[in-house]
Formats: sequence, structure tokens, C-alpha cells
Amino acid sequence: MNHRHTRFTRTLLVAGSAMLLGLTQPAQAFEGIVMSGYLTVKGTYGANDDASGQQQDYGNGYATDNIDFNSHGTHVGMQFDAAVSEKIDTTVILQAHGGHDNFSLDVEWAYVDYNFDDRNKLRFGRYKGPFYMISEYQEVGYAYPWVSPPLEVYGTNPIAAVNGLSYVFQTSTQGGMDFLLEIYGGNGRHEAFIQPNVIDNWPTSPAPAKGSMAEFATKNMVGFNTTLGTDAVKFRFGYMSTKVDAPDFGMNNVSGSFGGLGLIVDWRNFLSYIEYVDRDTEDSPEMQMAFPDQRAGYATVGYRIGDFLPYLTYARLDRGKTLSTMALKQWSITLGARYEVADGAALKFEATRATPESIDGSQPKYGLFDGPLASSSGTVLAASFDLIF
Amino acid sequence: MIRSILLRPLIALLLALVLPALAQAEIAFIANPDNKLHGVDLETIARVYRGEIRHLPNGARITPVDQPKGSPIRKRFYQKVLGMSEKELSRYWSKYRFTGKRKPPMILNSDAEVKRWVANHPDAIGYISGESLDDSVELLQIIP
Repeated sequence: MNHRHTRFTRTLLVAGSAMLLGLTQPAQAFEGIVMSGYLTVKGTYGANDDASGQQQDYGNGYATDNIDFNSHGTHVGMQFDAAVSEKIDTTVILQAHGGHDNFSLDVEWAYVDYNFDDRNKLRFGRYKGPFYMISEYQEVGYAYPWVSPPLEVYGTNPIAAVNGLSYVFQTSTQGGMDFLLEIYGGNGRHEAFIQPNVIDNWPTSPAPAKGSMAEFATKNMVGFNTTLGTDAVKFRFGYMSTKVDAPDFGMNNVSGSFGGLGLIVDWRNFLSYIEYVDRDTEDSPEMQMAFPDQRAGYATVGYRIGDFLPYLTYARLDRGKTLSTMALKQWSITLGARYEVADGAALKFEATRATPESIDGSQPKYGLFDGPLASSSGTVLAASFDLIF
Repeated sequence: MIRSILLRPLIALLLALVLPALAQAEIAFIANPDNKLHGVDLETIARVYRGEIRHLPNGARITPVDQPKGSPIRKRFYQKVLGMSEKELSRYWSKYRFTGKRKPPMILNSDAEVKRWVANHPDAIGYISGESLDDSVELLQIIP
């Protein structure tokens, strides 16, 4: 990704030189550079045909009829942390993805944190924004129960990172009640899949191939994220609004926003994740074709039995505030299980039954598939091995 | 001045009398002899090890060090003080560490390494088995 390299060389230089400074400090209770990381090996399979017997992939290549462990779900991340001084921390995260990125190691995120005190910190650099409930650690499979976060929700936000500032206020009471408020802003360059139904309705010829991506830039991103609760029950509320340039769609300076509510319950052996998101984009015809309004949600319930966690997810994807004929609609049920292989390593398996629907009764039923299926539902299987180190 | 001259030998004497009576399973919380961490309670220790705070109300910096993953003392410490198993702890850190919101404690290799580190760093706090206590470090608290 050339634009990432050129764009973040500056941030990397800042973080890197800050780290070198840290290495030359006199001995204090700082550790020098600390390395940690995560690895996910993921395989998926979905053999679902349309009426003419042709395979229709799921989730823009997430699951095809080839069992593929080199899919874009397989990746490794390496994080380097260094405390430069008592108040300044720096972090650099490298990632290598399988799939079309072909495991090239890139600087994914790099930032410098200035800690005013234990409650207040200011972050500068490139970081993953808290767009949805688990967006910030979406790459760390070990951190959540599913093989993949429900696609109905997490597929609606293709924004990779924020280059800018973030102010974080966090506090916890003696009783274990945590409160966090983060206000952030910046810009970024990202890419998003062009929806299969949009490709099938492409106004000019030739249309792009299924699985094609379009580049877009976000600017004047402003958002907040707030969480309140304990380790057992935590609520989340967030909202982000941005301007978007997408030259592939002839769009310049159009608006988009992402809002969401979430809840995580992790109490005794009972586990639940519930989330609802609302993507609201400019009502122009171009925007409603490229990124139509969508609302989505899911509820996951699970129960730990020793090292084994079976879970069930019900998810929905539906129209947003403004009805667009290009909006996607489906519901799905996923049955899965996570097994703690060892401390820091988990094995997961899930089976999803997705039922595409028509957004307005006249549009074909795509759901998250490349095209309308012959039968009313499709099945997708996924498995992963997730490690942190 | 006079207090500190008398205090160290007194503590050494008390430890010499008390240590043999301590069972191996005791967890001793230690700090640097020059520390400003007096009166740190278990609740505060728990919050420090969860990465929630890095300073005490009096402004003193407090930096925790950890023992190796899988070691019996680490398992006992996290179960008794934070109420978490090692797997629960790993799941906890996987959410906070990779977002840079909280930082886990540095891991050292043994009671001896923890003592050496704590003795050399005024803001450090660590945990060792009761029988490893000596006068190179100050005992903050001991739990059975």
C-alpha cells in the first residue's frame, strides 16, 4: 500500500526517534522497547449457487467455495511499545495480511501518547479509531469470541484508521466501575469493496469485477466514544462524522456518519455481546449508490463450560434512514464455539446461515452474497486459530 | 534519620523471627526501601496491576513488575488479588494492550530478579514468595 508508506513515514520517524531517545535514558523503571503481538490463521468456506448454478461468494471474498487459509482473514501483528519518559509513550504496530496484500509487512499504526496524568492523555499519530464497539481491537482475534466480528455490522465501516489527534479521559472507581471518554479527529485514506449489487448495476461499461475495491479519503473526521461499566457489564456509545472524497464515484466532500450503541456482558460463565449501528450518508444519488444508509445489529449469547465457549449470534442488516435501492438486507444465525487451547491461544469454529432479503420488495436478494442465491439461505463456515504473544 | 537507622535492623530482626513461621504459599508485596508507597492497600495494588493507575493519590509513581506466565506464584497472585485466572487475564489484556489504553506490567523471571529490580527502582512494586524476603527490599504487605 504505497500511500500508507509515504503518508506515515513522518509518524514513524517521530515514534521511532522517540523510542531511540528512550533507549538512551538512564536506568529507570522503564523497559526499553517491549514487543508483543497477535496472530490469526483463518479459513473459510461457502459454496452457494445462484439459480444458474454459478457460485456466489460471501462477504466480498470472505468465503468462497475454495477452502482458503491464505484468505484476507489471516494476518499477524507486531506491536512495539516504548516509554520515552515518565509521561510519553510511543507505539508502532506492524501488520502483515494474507490475501491480496500477500503478507507484506506494513506499518499499520504508529502513535505517541502524552499522559498528562493517570486520567488524561493526548494521542497523536495514526491509530485505529473506536468507530464501533470492538473496532479498536478488531485485528486481535483472541480478544473476542467469534471467528470474525458479525459481518452485518463490521462490514458497514471500511475506515481503517485515523491520522490525527485523540484525547482520552479514563477513570475507574474503587468499586471497579470504569468510565472512558475519547474525542478524536483527523483524516485518512482507505479502500472499500464495491458492493456486488452496485457492480451489477454499474452505469457504464465495463463494470468492475466482483471483489474490486475503491479508494476513498476521509477528512475532517470528528468522533467520540464513551464506555461505562465494569469488567462484567460495559456499555458503549459512539458517533463519528466525516467528509468523504471518492473520485471513483465522482464524489467530493460528501458527508457520512457512523453511530452505535453496544453492550458486553462477561459475568461468571455467561457472555453476551450486543450492538446496534447506524450508517448515515449524504442523500446524493452517488453516495446512496457507493455507501448507502444502513442499519445493522447483532446479539451474541454464549456460555463458558471450562475452556469451551459455545455461542449463538443473531444478526441483521437493513436499510438506514434513507431508503436506497442499493442498500443491502439480510439476517443470519451463527452457531459457533471457541476453545482455549492454552493461555493466549484459542481455536474457533462457526457456521453461519445467512438469509438475504430484498431491500424494497423489488430489488434482488443479495444480502452479503455476490448475487441472489438459488435457495432462500446460504451457509458459510469459518474456523480460526488466534494467538497473542 | 534516627528512626531509619533503628527501623531497618528492627525489621530485619522481626523478619528473622517471623520468616520461618511463614508458609511457602505466602505472597509478599515489596517495594524499594526509599519508596513513597506507604499504606498501599490491596485494592490499589490490584488497580496498579490492571494498568488503571500509575500514580498514587500522593503523586508517587508506582510501577508494577510481574512474574513469569505459568509460574505458581503468578497464578496465586492474580487469583487472590484480581480474582482472575491466567486465561481471563490474557483475555483482559488482549483488549487493552493492543489499543494502548492500558499497559501490562513488565515480566521478570524469578523472585530474585523481582527483588533486584525493586531494590534498584524507587517507584517499583513487585510480589515474591514470603520465604524470599530479605532486607534489600521493603515489605508492604503479606497475604496468606
